Amino acid sequence: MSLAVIAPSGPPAFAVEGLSKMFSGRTGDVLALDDVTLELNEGSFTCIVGPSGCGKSTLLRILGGLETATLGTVTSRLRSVNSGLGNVRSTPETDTSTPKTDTSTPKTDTSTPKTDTSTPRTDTSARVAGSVPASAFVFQEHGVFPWFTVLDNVSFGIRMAGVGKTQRDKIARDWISRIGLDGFETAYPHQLSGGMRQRIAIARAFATGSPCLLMDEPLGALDAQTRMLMQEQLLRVWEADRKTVVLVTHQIEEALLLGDVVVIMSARPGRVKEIISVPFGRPRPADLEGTPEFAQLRQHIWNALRDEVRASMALS
Amino acid sequence: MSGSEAPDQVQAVPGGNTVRTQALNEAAARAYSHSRLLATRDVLLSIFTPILLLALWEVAARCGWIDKKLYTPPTQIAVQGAKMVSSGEMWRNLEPTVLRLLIGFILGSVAGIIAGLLMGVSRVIRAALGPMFTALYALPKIAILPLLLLIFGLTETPKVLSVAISVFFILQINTLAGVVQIDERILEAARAYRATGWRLFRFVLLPGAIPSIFTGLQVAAGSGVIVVTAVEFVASNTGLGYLIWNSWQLFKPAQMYVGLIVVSIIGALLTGAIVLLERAIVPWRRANTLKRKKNT
Ligand SMILES: Nc1ncnc2c1ncn2[C@@H]1O[C@H](COP(=O)(O)OP(=O)(O)OP(=O)(O)O)[C@@H](O)[C@H]1O
Ligand SMILES: [Mg+2]
Repeated sequence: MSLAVIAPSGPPAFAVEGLSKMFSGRTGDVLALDDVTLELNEGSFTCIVGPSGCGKSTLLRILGGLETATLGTVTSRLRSVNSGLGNVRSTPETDTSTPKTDTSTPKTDTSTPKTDTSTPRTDTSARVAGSVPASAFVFQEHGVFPWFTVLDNVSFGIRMAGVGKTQRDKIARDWISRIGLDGFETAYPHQLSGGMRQRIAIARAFATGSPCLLMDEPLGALDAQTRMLMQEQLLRVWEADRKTVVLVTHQIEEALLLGDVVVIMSARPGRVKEIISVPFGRPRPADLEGTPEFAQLRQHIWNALRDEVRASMALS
Repeated sequence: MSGSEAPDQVQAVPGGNTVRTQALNEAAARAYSHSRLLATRDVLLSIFTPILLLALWEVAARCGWIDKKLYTPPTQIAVQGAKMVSSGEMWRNLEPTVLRLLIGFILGSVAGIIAGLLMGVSRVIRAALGPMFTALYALPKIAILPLLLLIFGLTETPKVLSVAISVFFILQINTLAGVVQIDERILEAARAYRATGWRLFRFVLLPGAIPSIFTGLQVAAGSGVIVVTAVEFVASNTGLGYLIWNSWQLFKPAQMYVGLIVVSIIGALLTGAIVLLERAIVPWRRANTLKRKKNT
């Protein structure tokens, strides 16, 4: 597997080396990932595409420390954010010292300035008193808590990070309004549509202010129009913050619209088949999808994927 | 993400298109009052059916279609009930039954919930206790009454314990099921946001299990009433169970009916209290959606 260094240049947020993941069970072993090597730069927006069941979710979970690698290493440069800008109120129970990725090597506290290039927006993300995890998740099937209101759901991450109620509510309200759910603060998830619930999950991840977002088909449950709107909003937020984002999607267009880099994975066992640097500048023009370059790149990715999708269909 | 577009905002826009807004509000109000009407009808029907049956019973007994001595007409039962209340006989029997039931129910359910939660959280505890509890659950609880009498004698303890034990198993099983069935995706989300230890328990496992716990409480309420009555049949000379049993032996059907009715009222009240408690504690399960605006 060729090691690909990914634009835009910057220190790698994640270095994945020779990563393999085997699931063993009564029904036999499943090799989900096979010798995956990747570097994801800090502040980059990476999209992962690949046939269903090729291990995209698994890779993301390993990056976020929810799953352990069977072989290989994941090195993370990201540290948990612990800057309260003055009024730090990190609670004793949130430890700030443990490595956040299971396999992370000791952090050589590099002097690389955080990508927080301080676009002076509202002081809501990445500036949270307490300790927030290095990466925040948006799950394929959202995992919103049915017993919490929208407000409590969105503030769950920072609550676990030990942020006090006043600040927590302020941040959560800001994000609720940014995802267009004003007026639904006290509603419960069962009172909302599937797309609205998905947006809660997105807001919950952003509200943590984690320097890295791991998103597993975050827009998958949305209808086409809302999806387009959310893509734009996602881009806006990301361009303001430049967090490190890894986004799994099954839409080639989405990958090209959002990403700096598109990683194409092979059918199971998942390998990195190709890494594509997306040449389009930012902010992405509104008519990007109509351009011949876009169509050409889309065709290229589809050609690469087609065989893999076929292979994965034959597998199952 | 600026949220000004908010395509799925449902509230009527204040100061917007007033004619349309008004029509909208009126239609919503109509739909609402219709659903209220249906709810009222349900309540009325639920009261009407038993009243109709009682009236039939009364008429049948008075006309001699059924044996008046065995099927005491409702009015006579009411008279008998009033007599027992004023003579103090009612309270003499009601109080011990309610105390046995409540104390046993609370002890049993608290212990059952704790056991279920512990088993849900700890695999070791689950493995150690699960199969044994499942086996014991199948044992009819009333069957161990003789053993309890042997150990504790003819005191209050075996009666309260019988109730507690039957309630315990129901709650342990329901609570455990509640924890175990929590959606894997929910648990993963909790893990991703680093909810651990007490906070995982408090914010995720407990609320996740609560609907199932309340189902258990409701089942246990019925079961507790059965057990306390049965225990009083055989091992007590106070209580409503005793009253019912005694009425058989002395051939006092009116008194027996009073006893039966009071026992079922106790069961209904306990179940009702649990339902109310559930409404207060579990707002996220309530069928009703967004609160309606007052002014329409
Ligand atoms: N916990 C698990 N136990 C056993 N096998 C698993 C587990 N999780 C995933 N797998 C297997 O690993 C493979 C990759 O799963 P993964 O969820 O990562 O796929 P994916 O690329 O995200 O698919 P999709 O696009 O459909 O979401 C699948 O074959 C799946 O069956
Ligand atoms: Mg997946």
